[in-house]
Amino acid sequence: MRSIYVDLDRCLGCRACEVACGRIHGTSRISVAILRDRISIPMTCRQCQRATCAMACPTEALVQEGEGISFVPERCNGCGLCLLACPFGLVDLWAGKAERCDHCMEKSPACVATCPSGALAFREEMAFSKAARTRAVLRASRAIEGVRR
Amino acid sequence: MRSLFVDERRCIGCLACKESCPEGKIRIMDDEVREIIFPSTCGNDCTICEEACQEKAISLGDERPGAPEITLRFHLIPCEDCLRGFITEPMLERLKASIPRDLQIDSSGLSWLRLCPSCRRALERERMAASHLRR
Amino acid sequence: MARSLVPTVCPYCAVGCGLTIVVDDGLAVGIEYMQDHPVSEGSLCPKGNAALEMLYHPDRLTHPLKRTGEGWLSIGWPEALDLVAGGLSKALCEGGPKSLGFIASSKCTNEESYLIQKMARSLGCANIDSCARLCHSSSVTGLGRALGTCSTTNILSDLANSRCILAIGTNFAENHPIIARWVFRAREAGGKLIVADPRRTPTAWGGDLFLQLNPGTDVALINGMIKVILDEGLINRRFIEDRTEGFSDLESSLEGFTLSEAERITGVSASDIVGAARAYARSPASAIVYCMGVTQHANGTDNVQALANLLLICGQIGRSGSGIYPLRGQNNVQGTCDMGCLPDFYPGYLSPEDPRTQGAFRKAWGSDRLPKAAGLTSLEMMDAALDGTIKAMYIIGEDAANTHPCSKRTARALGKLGFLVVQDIFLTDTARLADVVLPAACWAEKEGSSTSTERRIQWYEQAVEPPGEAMADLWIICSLAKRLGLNFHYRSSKEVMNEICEIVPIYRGVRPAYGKGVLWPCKKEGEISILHEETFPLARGRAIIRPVHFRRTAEETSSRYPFLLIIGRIGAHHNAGSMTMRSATLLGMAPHRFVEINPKDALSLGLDDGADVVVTTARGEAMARTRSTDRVMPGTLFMPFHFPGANYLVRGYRDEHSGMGELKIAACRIERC
Repeated sequence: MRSIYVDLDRCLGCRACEVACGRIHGTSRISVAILRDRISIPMTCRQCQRATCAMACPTEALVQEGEGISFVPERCNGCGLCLLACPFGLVDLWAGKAERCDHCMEKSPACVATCPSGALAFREEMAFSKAARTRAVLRASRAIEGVRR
Repeated sequence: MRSLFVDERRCIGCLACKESCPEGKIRIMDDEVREIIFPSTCGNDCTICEEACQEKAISLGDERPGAPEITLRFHLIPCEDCLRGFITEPMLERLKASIPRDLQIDSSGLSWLRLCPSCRRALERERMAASHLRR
Repeated sequence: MARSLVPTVCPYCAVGCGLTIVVDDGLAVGIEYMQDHPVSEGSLCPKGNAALEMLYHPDRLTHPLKRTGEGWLSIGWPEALDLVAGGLSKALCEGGPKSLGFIASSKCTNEESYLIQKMARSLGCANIDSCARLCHSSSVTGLGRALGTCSTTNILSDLANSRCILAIGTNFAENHPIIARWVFRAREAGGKLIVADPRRTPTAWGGDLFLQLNPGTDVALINGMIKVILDEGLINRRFIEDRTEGFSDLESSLEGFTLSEAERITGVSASDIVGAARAYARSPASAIVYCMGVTQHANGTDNVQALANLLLICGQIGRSGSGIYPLRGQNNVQGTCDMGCLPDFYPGYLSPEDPRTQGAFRKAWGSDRLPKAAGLTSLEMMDAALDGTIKAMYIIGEDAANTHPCSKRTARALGKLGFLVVQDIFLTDTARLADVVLPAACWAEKEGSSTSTERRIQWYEQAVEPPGEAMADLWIICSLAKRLGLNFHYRSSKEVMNEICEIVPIYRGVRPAYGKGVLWPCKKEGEISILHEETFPLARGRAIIRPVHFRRTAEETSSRYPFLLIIGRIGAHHNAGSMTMRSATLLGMAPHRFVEINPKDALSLGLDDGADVVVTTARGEAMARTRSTDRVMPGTLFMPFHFPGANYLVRGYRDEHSGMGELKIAACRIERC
């Protein structure tokens, strides 16, 4: 199953992902915040494999389906239990419905396509961790001679 | 005109009726207490709120002239971090019942249900920042 | 009407990202990403994503306006054009060509820019300038003298092939975010990023080395690096001997200069300067990326020359991954310069004093009135308006009353003109001073080409109709030219481009084509366009190394004005904000003017985060909200210039070479209001 991953070394806090997501969905399902003036962290639904939002949904609008979560908006009554059931606070209510990232219905997600610095990626988990390992090795070998980091 | 009946033993204080009413006739005001104000009568020929309520707390019936607005009050349990009320007692109980116990506590031992969603998000961000900057 | 997809180019910065506008029933309803675009690969920054929002803003100008005693009066085009032609002709008759001034717009197409300067020069007027004066005029002079061209030497994607990137005076993470894409690709391949800036911006987060220099001390930093390279023998002697002139002057000029002096002036530790110098000089391919932090100073040309010296002694130019990237600000500022909307250059950077230039354009344009000398810069035009020499001005798309340094003076100058015509898409503060306002079509409402910062000429089609009676600038300029007795019978942009390709040497071989566009100078298909692979277009084909010395040109702090205010850009907005402030999303991201202050300073002044303050310089004051952050050093403040009024604050001392005004730094104080 593919997911949206973020490379925090690359995220520069430009918020293009927010604007792109808001442009397509009316409100943004991804949010970016800069912490300590040093790091920018975009956050969006993690597509939990044991999704507490779906467990809490009383109308079966949010349903765990295999490794993913499906959402049937017609069934959503806007009760807000899913929003309170997300451990990361990543579900919102918008226009009376639960609002969370659905990977742009598994097409190329707009946030990933628009990300100028290439910080966001939509890929298989395994592929991602391999890339992360490669980056860690590079980081370790990067110190500039004679310079404190 | 029809009248609205609300069973306060069933209502858990969620947002379903308010969010689904196309006329915005059901109002919710949050402070330390959540006040849900239902109109006594509704001229609309719809049953949306009745159908939306998963607790079956709302029923629509024949008009009772002169009936007052119905106000239900729920204490809002404060977030342990920002101290702002964010969840009613019955809703919290509902979540505790529907989420397996092992998922109610995160890897650091925190009972995240006691935090409001925006503090959960902020905490998670802090953790990600801390672990990334430590590298 | 059916749904259609119209390929276009983002109207904001000069990176030149492609995007596709979705048009439904004549309305621009959405954007699709252009994933095969060679620069952006489908990505767009926040502004690009919000680019359609200003199209349908109710503030769009829809009719020509005439100033009357009772305010603005909507008039028809024939009357408006007659009024403008009359106003310009009157000044021309009474005071000759010197009494006219033209400011072109970098938001216009190449074809429109070409025509406006052709109009000015055909009337005998050399006073034609553009907003490049305020952004990269120091690059035009600095790089022009040192390398013979002013543009990025390599294409943006070639940054991925660099193994050391020195980013100085640029916050590309916010203002040219697509650059980060290619910089990170270089880093993934093991390249190093060195960021030099007085502010620790998001660009610096990704850096392997951050040099937080004192504002305005760039020359000392670069000379310090050069000193290290000379002392440690890291120069590329062969390149210096074969391809440059003036090296020995540089060597002797730095004999007395020490690293500790560089450290003292810049505030950057000697060891960091050494580290930066070694990394830059030793890497097999190093690139320099710079922006307004280098150019917008009263010694901007020196800053640029210092960078040129650095790259020349290391031979870091003319190869893949090696080069220099002046990052342009406006979508078509490169093209506007290429088209000769500069008082000292005819199209293609040809000197007016050169008889060959005169001959070529006299023949091509059939005019014997062409000016034989350089005219006034946009800032000098304001001096001339104040002293009465210039009596009438034609300004396209520039909000000079907000963007010029010490901008209240510019507003006063414009107010003193006998006749002012402003052509724009919104009623800017500059347009409010006009006698006649002409409503123009904006990017998506007309066709034409623009040239991005990497010399990529891209065509865009008209996607939607302009609002009301607004017209494409090309039509307006041609209609006006005819009334002024000029032979401007162009029916389309392509006809103009054909003329450009015939007579502007650097555009030779360019032919309108959609998609990825073409780079000037035109090369064979598949060749990566890198300038100066073998020679420099200067006398003897050699680049010029010219020693520059650190001078303190920025205003100095005093007990009355104890802080240094840095003025710059933020990601959500663009220039004077006439477009982005009318985009709900972007305005939501940054709704107020703010001023960044170091937490230590905020504490000692008792200012909370978000406090309402007034920032005062010798020129005036501006209100803002504080943002307490260690992005800025103690003693410095930062304020964006997008919110009207910031450029009131700067002094605007001019660079003697380029006429650039000091827009970057001013001494100020900050108080709670």
